[in-house]
Amino acid sequence: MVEGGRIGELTPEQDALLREVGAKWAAAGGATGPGDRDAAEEGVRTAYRAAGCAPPRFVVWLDSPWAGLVGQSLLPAVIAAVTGGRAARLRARLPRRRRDQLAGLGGFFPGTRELFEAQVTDAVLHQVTELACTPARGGTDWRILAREAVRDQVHAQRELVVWEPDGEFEGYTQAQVMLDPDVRPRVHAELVAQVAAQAGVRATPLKPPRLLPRGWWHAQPLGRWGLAGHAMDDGMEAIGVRGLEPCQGERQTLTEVGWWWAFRDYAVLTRRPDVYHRDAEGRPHCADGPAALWPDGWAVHAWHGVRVPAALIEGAWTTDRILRERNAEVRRCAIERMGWPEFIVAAGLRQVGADEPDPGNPGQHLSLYDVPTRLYNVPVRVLLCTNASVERDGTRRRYGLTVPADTPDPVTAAAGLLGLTRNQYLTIHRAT
Amino acid sequence: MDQRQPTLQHVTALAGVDVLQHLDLQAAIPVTSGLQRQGDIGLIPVGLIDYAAPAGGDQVPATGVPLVSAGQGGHTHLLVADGHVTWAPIDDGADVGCFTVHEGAVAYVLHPEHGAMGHAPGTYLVRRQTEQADDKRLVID
Repeated sequence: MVEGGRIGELTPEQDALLREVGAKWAAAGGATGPGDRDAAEEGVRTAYRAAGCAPPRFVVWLDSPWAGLVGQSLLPAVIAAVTGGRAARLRARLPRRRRDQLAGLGGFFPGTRELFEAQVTDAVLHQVTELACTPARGGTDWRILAREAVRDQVHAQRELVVWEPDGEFEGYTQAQVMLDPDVRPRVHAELVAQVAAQAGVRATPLKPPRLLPRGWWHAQPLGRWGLAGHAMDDGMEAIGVRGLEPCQGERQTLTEVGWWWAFRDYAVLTRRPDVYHRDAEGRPHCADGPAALWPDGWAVHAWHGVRVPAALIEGAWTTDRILRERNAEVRRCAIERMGWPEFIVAAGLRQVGADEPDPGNPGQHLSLYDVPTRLYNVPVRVLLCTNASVERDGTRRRYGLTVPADTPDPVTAAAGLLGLTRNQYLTIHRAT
Repeated sequence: MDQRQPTLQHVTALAGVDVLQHLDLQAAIPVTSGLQRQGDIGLIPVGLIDYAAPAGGDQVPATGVPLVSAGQGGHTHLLVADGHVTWAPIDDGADVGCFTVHEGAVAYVLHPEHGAMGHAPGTYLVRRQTEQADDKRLVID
């Protein structure tokens, strides 16, 4: 339905199309594996043309966001060395690299908002956001964690130092990564091979630069967490909004790659992760390995959406190590991974009052423990519960829930979890 | 079948969903009008806490209403109606919504791990447990 030249109401068909678009982008966010390289590169060329530029002469692929960030800084010098061109040598200089970058935070075509406002009513804008854009947001999680991991890795590489989790600066996880001393020669060799093949010359081994170029980390990647915006464009196009053709190339590329960088003359594309695990809530999570893993071994570890050091997941942190950890959120993840029942014993937490029968859960008890104030950012106690339902193997799962530190007894604690008083909670008929 | 002592099998058939195999399908499901808890959600009679339930609500469809959708791989608490049961979502932090069991009807909340709870006529608030972590966190089981 059109109102004053703007789309004012969605037909059932448009509604169904938007749901499809939402589902498509939700899936794209969690997609793993190599992706369709030809489609990605075709999308790159389309995006360049739409931006009024010649398609890039060189399109290289690297295996992780980290390799991509290092590679985009090395590539102009590699092109210059392999092709011997003077123009290429100039491009390798920092101010030129900055000027040559084609698209910033908003992507190639940031002006879509005005198009929407001119062509649809606020009500439709809201509906498209809900149906097409919101489902795509969940898929951006690994991208955000990867950004943090890349940031730490950049820091480590620049300072040539990483806090040793168990060394002199014990307890730090500011940099949850290790220095990657081989990244420069490794990425350099890959670039030389790919550029030589694309330039049609024989690949001769080149000596990697002694240092990374000045300002190597300054480059805005595309396709990071821009999924939701592209889902929005896609949805608008599906209901008939015109003028969005310039976005199509970038959108096509985005579903097939991880991060990528667009410069005049060259583009750097990176692979999607090979592995990406999420919990029931859709947050990046894996209890015994990387939550996201790229083909070159670069990995992000996460516990229910919180990025944590690899050692917390791959090894087993001791109680001592948990207590030394300075980041409260990481500490909480470490305790949850160990399990509250085990942590209570291992850390010797002090019980508050006596055990009480668990109302509605016959035969089971509730216990309350003090948690050292330095453990959480806010003072808490922990209520140790036993599941009212038995597991498949006949055992009952025990688990801990944190409650305010002024909670006087276990039943008040259990009641408080539901916002009830002790007396209200004692009326419970049944818990399962 | 005695309407007041239904079994888990009766409820799963009603909803057309399965529960985990180790649960006893012949187990009787007590139907009460009191406070109950299923894992991480409380089923609270509104009278117990003088809660102002939202007016109105829609009849619970034959496929049920997922109360807390656990996303991919997780388990859902499903509200199932045997008769006239209405559902009014709230979606405000821990409070998920209210359901009203009308005269002559029974409502069940079914979960693959926890089995089923039975609710006699009355209005109930569905509320998730909230932990006191670094920020307030809803409990997910």
